[in-house]
Amino acid sequence: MIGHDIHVVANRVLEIGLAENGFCPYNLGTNNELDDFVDAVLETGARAVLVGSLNGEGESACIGIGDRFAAADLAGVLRYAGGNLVVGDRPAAQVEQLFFGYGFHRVFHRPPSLLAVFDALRQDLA
Amino acid sequence: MSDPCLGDITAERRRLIQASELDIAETARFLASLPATRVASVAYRNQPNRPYLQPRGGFPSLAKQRELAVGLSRAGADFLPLTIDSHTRHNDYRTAAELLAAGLAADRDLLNGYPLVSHPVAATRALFADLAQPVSLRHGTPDARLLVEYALAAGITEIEGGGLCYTLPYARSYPLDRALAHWQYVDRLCATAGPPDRPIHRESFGPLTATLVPPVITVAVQLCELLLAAEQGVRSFAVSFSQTGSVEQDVALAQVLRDQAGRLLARFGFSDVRVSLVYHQWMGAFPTEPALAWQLIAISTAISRLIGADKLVVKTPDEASGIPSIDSNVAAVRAVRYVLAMFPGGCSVAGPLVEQERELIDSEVSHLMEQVLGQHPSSLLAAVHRSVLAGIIDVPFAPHEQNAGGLITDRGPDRRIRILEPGAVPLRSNDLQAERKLLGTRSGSDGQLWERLLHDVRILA
Repeated sequence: MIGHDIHVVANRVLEIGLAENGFCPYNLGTNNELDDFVDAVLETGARAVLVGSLNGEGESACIGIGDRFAAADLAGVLRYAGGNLVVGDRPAAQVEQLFFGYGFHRVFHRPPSLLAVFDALRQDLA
Repeated sequence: MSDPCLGDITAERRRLIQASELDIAETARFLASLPATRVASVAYRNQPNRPYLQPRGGFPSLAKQRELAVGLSRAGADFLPLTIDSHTRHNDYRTAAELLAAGLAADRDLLNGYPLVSHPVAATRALFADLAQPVSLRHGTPDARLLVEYALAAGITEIEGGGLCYTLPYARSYPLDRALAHWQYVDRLCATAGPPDRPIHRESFGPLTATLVPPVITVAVQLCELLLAAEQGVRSFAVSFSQTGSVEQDVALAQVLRDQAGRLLARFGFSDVRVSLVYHQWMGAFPTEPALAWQLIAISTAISRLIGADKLVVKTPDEASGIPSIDSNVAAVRAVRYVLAMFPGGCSVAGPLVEQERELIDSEVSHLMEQVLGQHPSSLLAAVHRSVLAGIIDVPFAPHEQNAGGLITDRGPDRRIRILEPGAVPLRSNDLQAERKLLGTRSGSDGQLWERLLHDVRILA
């Protein structure tokens, strides 16, 4: 989770769901900055990062994620954003474009289920 | 195990408050001068034949906080809450003061509670001066030393919290050993600040993350905090827990909590500690529909009577939509009183399900506490600290990075909370077998665990 977001239940459920679906998650928990995700990839060799935001802080806290990963020589690492990514109600397509612009490969704004995330991850990592 | 640890508490206190307006002797005189009705430990000694009622609430400004306190007092609340804003909880008093000033200038609330350290002590005293009820400090602070100094100076006689219950669910990185040491200070402070015959009352926060916490963990945390407080001289203490979602489990949990607390205190020579039981109405996601929210409030009120609770922490029908209004709190207190009046002589439930659950929780708690207490480190504090690091005490869904997070729970078909994977929580093999048997085998239509957990978050919403 990015920012001061304390939605730890969703975070833990995602971790359990990833493991149940055959992935090997490393959970950074709550209260992270972009560099924490970069560092974690360097430490673990993860092939994908999932950045969650449920309180909408993602809009400001995720700016420049693509550049940060490129600067660390990690441009090829998959980047997903998901949750309730912005404050207030905005069309999903608009939110997706915003986060694509930050350097995410896939964006899940208010997804009805996590299944779409697991399916996409399976496809992208195949 | 005994632990002197804190040497000269008075010298420590002087250092802590030297930059503030506080005065140790004046606080002591003020606490001694309070009418008996304002003293929580006295209230618990004179328990009526029903649980006391305590709503929740805190507003940044004096005017609105005063309005809340008067409204709740008139509505029939027995304890008045003072809920603290999250900046003050994290010791960021400067931001709290800035947002208080900015909010007053803009005439709107920029804080989610009362910034106790940022208001003059005299102003906080005045909020409650003409009200007859004890005031309870509700927060969520790993380092509450200065906050509690202010609370005592303001005449607040009940202090909620503890090193485990206010750190594991509330903080990600605040070091647990430091939080435990700061709460040792708070316990000693509460034990020594008030008159000996009217001690400051301490209460632990049993709901923890309020998300599928199994009874064994709830009880173990309560017992650890009770013992840690008793060791520092606290003589009036409340253990607590929140509605689990199963009536049978609530009844069984309450019995085990009371029994084990009494046994443990006797074993360590603290039989003079008075233990009360506090029950929190459903702490999970509330229904948005008022008609359903009122049912939930009514049922949990009835359960508080079934478990013989000494105090009930009351929810409101606004719960699903943010911080409840004063009117909503007032309406909830009236409604809860209405339900309680239907149980004039108390009530109890028993039966094979409750007995089965009680035996299982009791066995699990006994075994876990032996592991905690059997570590023979230098102090109880160190034993508790080590137990968390080792995952012996493991709180589901706690954000704290020192919480093991290996324990996985689920809800059985009868809605009782069950342990699916214990992680490093020590369970006897027959107890773990019983947990899994009661959980039952899952059919494909129940989905995967992550789906069930997501569903459970809104089970009563």
